[in-house]
Amino acid sequence: MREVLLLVRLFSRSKARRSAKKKRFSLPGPVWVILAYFMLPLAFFLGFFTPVLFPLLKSLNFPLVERGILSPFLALDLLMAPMIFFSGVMLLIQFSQSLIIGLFDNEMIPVLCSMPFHRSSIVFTASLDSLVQTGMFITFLGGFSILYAVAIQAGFFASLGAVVSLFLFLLGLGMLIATWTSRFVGRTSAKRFTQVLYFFGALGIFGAPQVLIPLSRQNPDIVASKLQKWIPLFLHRFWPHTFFLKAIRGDVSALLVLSSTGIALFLLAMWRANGIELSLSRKKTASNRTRVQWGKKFPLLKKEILLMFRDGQMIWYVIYPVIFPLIMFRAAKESLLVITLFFTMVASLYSSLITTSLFAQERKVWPVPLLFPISSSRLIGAIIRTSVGLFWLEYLVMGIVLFFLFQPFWAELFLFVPVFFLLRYGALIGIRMYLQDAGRDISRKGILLKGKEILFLEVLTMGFSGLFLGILLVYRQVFAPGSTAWFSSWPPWLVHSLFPGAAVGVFVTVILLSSWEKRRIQKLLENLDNT
Amino acid sequence: MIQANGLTKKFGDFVAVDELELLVEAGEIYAFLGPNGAGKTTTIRMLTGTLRPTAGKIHVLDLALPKNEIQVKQRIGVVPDEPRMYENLRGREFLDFVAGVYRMEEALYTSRVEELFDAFSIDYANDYIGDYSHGMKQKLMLVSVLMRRPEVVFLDEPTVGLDARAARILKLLLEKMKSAGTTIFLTTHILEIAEKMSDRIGIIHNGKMLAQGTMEQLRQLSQGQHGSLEEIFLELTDSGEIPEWARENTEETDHA
Repeated sequence: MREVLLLVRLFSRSKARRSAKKKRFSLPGPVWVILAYFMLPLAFFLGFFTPVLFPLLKSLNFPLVERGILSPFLALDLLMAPMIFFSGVMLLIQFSQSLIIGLFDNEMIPVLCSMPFHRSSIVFTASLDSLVQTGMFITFLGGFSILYAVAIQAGFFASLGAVVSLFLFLLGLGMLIATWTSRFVGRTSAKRFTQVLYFFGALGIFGAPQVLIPLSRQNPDIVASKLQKWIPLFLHRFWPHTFFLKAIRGDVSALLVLSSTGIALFLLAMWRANGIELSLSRKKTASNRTRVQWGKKFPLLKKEILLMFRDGQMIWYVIYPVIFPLIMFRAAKESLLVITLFFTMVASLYSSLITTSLFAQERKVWPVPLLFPISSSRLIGAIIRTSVGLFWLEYLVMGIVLFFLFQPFWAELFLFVPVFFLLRYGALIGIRMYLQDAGRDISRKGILLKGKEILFLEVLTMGFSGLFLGILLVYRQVFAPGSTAWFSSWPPWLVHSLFPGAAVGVFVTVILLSSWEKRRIQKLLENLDNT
Repeated sequence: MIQANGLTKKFGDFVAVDELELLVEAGEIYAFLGPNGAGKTTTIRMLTGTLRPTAGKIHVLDLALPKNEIQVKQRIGVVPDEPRMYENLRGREFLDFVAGVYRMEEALYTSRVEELFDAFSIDYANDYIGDYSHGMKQKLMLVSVLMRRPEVVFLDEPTVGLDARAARILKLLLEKMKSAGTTIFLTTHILEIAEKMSDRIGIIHNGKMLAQGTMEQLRQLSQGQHGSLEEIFLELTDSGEIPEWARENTEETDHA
């Protein structure tokens, strides 16, 4: 136990970054780390899930038999089972992959292995550390369990026992999966997989209220009859979450089975951990005989695309600007202009974040990129072209589809021109901001820019996109049938000159600022080559 | 082939390289030695066009730097002191990228890479670089440079992290390249390599070139007729006395 406590202290301290400035009051580093992983999901759960889910669960708190469905379960079990199942599976996968990273991509591990620590203590501490990183899924799994227990008015100790047993079960199983998959999953694949999973999990969680809200508006009997087809799939008697739901309801045998399986898996994982090879050496997977068709053309572009699609965070950046307008499809009132506004505001910001992320990858291998017969400006140009080109292509495809779908005013088809310049401005400003402190610490994944810089980026990219497209939106509003806007009474010549003029003004400002950013980037690159 | 006159690099007030004079002839192996922090890597970075000198002139392959930076980079090869490569690329993809940047012919590239893979026993090129050890990265970096057969090769501590076999293969390859007319500029802390392989040796200390010449010329300079390169190096760089306790230990072991 002493050994574990010592390791926990060491792991948590290594996570906190030392600050040069002394603060009068500051929370200890590990507390910040835990808060960072749990605060946002908790706020989202309390703000969005609880108000929708809890009344829905309460309304479904009746035995299915009462409605003529032959099943020993409650109607709300039909809703809870898939939610517990999916959040549990997500937790399990993310936890095991994080553990692989924690064990095989941690420079501290070989040092710890040379000290008189039991392997199981190292693996257990690393698993606690990895568990913190799955904060989003823990919050949701825990939150669902609490809401369920409160909705059915379950006993406190039965609920606590069930929750502890389920977490022990997942912890043990996750550790076993990690030790087994570490044989053939490298840390690079694990990192990518974890990131992708996190973002898809987040997407699922953000999208879930869209499903729950319509359900909450329906008659509980209809909801129960709709969901009854899930009984054989999600409420099969051998599923761990079925035991878990039964255990919360006070079924002692289910609690005993779940807890004893959990303890057995945990002990098995600990026993396996003592024999695990904690070496940082690679996981040998393949020979090198497969030829990758790279070709001679556009090597830079191809490299940037590969790097982009091998980083989970960047994949998220690429897909979200398309997903966001689709989520807001109804709010967009089937208007290409409004969808363009949503898309460009997000994509221009993400365009800057992608360029900074791609440039950070170059900085990680610096000065190797300088050894190639490519100038720094060409290198940066390839990064900007990749990011802007990809978003622009996304917009073109989406715009063309929506153009035929909505059949808007023909001039809206030409929105692709300002969209391109807004995306390009975002990319340029991101690179410039990064270059202003080119020696920044990029060791922590996903944290490249300071909070102040991100805020500045948001204001500029989203601001200009919002301003330009917002002006056009207001301009169009004047001609909307039955418009009651206060400027509807203005003389037409004033409306026709003021709004398009303002939009052109914003557009020209963006172009001028882009050239200015380009010049600044060139200067910063010259300084960078000189250090 | 490689020429530097009055080469100086300052970082603020700190003078990293101080008026360095250097001439490396075509087809020569030149070993550039010096203690840690002497200015070896800074010099290599300036000679390869990745760092602008504060003063002085550089000519590589008769082309002035940094003016002809891109043309020079097209014809030289550099193995840096740390083999940093894109962790999210597979080894093979990195080589494909390099081949694409230098516009290598497909058939030539394939045959040379296979040859070098066999020589260095590389069987991991389809794995992600992020999963490689230092030695594995170093081998891949060497392949990425040697496959192009550049006219001038700069190697900054090339044997660090390499196993005995790979280090031996590298030495043989360098000898072979030298006989084919390639100019090789290398830094190393393994003085035995420098002594056995190089035609000429340069010793830098605190940014200044202390001595350069053949092994014989260096011996004459240090006034010790039979001294090894290690003795000459320690004498010239004034690295300080070896502590008595360390000597005693060695003598005891020798005696035993």
